[in-house]
Amino acid sequence: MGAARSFDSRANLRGLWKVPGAVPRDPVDWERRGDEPVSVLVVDDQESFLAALREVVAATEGFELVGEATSGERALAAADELSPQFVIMDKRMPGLGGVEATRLITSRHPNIVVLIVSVEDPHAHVLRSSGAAGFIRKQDLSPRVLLDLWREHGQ
Amino acid sequence: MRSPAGYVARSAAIAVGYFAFTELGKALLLKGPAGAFWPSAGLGIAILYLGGLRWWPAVLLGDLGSLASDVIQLGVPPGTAVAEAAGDLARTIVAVVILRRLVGPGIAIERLREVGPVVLAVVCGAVISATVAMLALLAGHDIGSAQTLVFWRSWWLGDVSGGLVVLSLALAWARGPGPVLRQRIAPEGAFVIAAVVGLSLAALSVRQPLTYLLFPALIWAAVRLGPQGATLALTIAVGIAVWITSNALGPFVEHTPTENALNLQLYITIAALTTLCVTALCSERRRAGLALADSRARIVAAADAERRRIERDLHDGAQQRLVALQVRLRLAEDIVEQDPTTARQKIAELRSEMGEVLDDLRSLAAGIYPPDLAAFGLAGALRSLALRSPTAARVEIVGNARCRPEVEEAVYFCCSEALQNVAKHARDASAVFIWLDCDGDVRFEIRDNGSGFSDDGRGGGHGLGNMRERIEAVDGTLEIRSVPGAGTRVTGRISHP
Repeated sequence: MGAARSFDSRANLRGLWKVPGAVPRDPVDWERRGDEPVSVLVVDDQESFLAALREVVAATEGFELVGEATSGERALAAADELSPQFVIMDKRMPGLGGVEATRLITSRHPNIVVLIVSVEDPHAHVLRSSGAAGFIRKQDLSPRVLLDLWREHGQ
Repeated sequence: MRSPAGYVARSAAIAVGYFAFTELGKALLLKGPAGAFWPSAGLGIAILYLGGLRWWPAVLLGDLGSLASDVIQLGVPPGTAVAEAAGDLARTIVAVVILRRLVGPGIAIERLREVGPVVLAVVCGAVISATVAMLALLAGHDIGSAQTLVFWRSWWLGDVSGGLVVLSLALAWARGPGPVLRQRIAPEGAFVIAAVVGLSLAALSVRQPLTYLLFPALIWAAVRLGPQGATLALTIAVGIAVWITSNALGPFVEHTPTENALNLQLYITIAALTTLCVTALCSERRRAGLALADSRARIVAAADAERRRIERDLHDGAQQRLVALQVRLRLAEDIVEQDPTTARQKIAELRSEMGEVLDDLRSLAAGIYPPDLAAFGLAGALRSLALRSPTAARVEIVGNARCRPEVEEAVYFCCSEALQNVAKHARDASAVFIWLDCDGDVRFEIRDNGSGFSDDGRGGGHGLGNMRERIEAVDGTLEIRSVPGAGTRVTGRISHP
C-alpha cells in the first residue's frame, strides 16, 4: 500500500481530496473482499453537484467515498493513487473531459466500474467509446442506480 | 542603398529612365497636336512622391538631358531650356508637397479624397511650369505677347493631362498587382481592355466627333477592375488617341493646330478625371462593403460567443445546482418515512439552496439584459452599475432623455465593459468616473486613474474592439485613449439617439 500512502503527501493537489478516514486500496488488490465497502471516486468540476454526489454515495449502502476530483486529469491521478472500485464521472469538464478520462481509466484499470453522468441525454456511442459501465442523466442518479450498476458490473 | 555611391548610381538610373521616357515619347508619339500632351510631368511627380524628394537631382538631370536635345535639334535657346527645367522641377516638387501634405504617403486612387489632391497637385504644379516657361519664352522673344495666353493654356493643359494619366497609373501600380485585378483580370479584365482598344480605334479612326464612344468602356473598367485596371485602360485609351493623332489621323487634326491640341488635351483630361473619380468611388464602396461584411461577421461571432457564454453559465451554474437539488430531494424522499426529522432538515436546506439558485438565475438574466435599463433608462442603469462596480465609481449625468433602446444598450454595454476592464486590467485604479450627457446627441466618457496601457489611439484588444463595434453599429464613434501611468479614457458620441 506504499503507493496509496504516498497520496497523503500529494493531497494538497488542488481539486483532489482524499476523504478523511477512507483507506486507499492496494492497486493490485482491487477486488472487494468480504464486507469491505465499495470504494468510490467522484469526479465533477462543479462543487454544487459534487456535494450531491457525496450525499448519494453516503446514502448508498455498502459504498464508501474514497476520493474526489474536479477534472479529468485529476481523476486519472486519483484513480492511480486510490484504486477505487467505482467512479462516478461528470461528462462535461474543462480540459480532459469525462469521456476521455473514462477511456484512459478503463484502459489502465479494466476492473474499475465507471458511471458517466451528465445533464444531457445519454449517448450509446459515448458509452461504447469510453468503456464506461453506464451513462445516466445526473437528475436520475440515486443509490438504487449505483447498486444496480455495481451488481451488474462490479462483482 | 544608403551609400553615396548607391545614391549616385540610382540617381543616374532614374535620370536615364526619365530622359529615355521623354525622348521616346517625343520621337514616337508626341508629334503635331499630340506634342501638347506631356506625360513626363506625371512621371517626375510619381518618382519624387513614391521615391522621396531626395531624388530631385535625378529628375532634374533627366529633364535637362531632354531639354538639351531640344536645344540641339530644335534650336531652343539654352537659357530658355534651363528656365523650363527649373519650372518643371518646381512643378514636380510643389505637386509632391501638396500630395504629401493633403493625403500623406500611400495614395493608390482607392478613395475619392485621394483623387481631389491628385488633381489639385497636378493642376497647381502645371500652373508653375506653364508660367515659368511662358515667362522664359517671352524673355527670349520666342513668343509674342498676343500668343501668351494660348501658349500658357496649352502648356498647362499638356502638363495636367499628362500628369493625371501617368501619375495615377504609377500610384495605382506602385504596390504591385492588387487582389482585385488578379481576381478579375481574366476573362472580364481582358474583355474590358479589348473593348477600350476597339472603341478607341473605332472612335478615333474617323474624323467625326465620336470620342464619347470610349467612355462606357472606361467607366466599365473603373467600376469593375479597380484602380489598377482602370488606370491601365485609361493609359491604353490615351496612348491610342495620341498615336492616332500623331499620325495625322482622327478627329484631332481637323482644325487649326491650336484647336487640335486643345481638343486632344480636353479629351484626355476629361477621360482621366471621369475614370479616376468613378474608380475611387467604386473602390471606396467596395472597401466599405468589405468592411461591413467583416464587421457583420465579427458581430455574428460575438453574438455566438455570447450565446456560448450564456449556455456555459447556465450549464455550470443554475442547471448543475437544480440537478443537484433534484438528486438530493430524492434522497430526502427516500428517508422521509424512516427518519422524518432528518428528511425535514434536508428539505429546509434544499429550500434555502433553491433561493441561491434563483439569485444565480436573476444575476445571469441581468447580464443578458439589465432590467434597470428597461425600468430606469440609461441614467438609472449607469448609477446602478456604478454601485456594483468593484472600483469606486462616480457618475455624473446631464439630462435624462430616453434614447432608442439599441442606443441605450450600446452605451450601457460600453460602460459596463469599461468598468470590467478597469477591474480586470487596471487593478491599481482607485476611482472611475462615468459622465453621460443625453441632451441632444448622446455623449459619454469613462475615465480611470489606473496604470493605463500603450495605445495607438485606435485601441486594441478584443473587448475594446467589441465596444467600438457596438457604438459604431448605432452610428456612433468611440475613442479609447490610454497613456501608461496616466489612466484610460473612453469617450463616445452618438448622433440622433
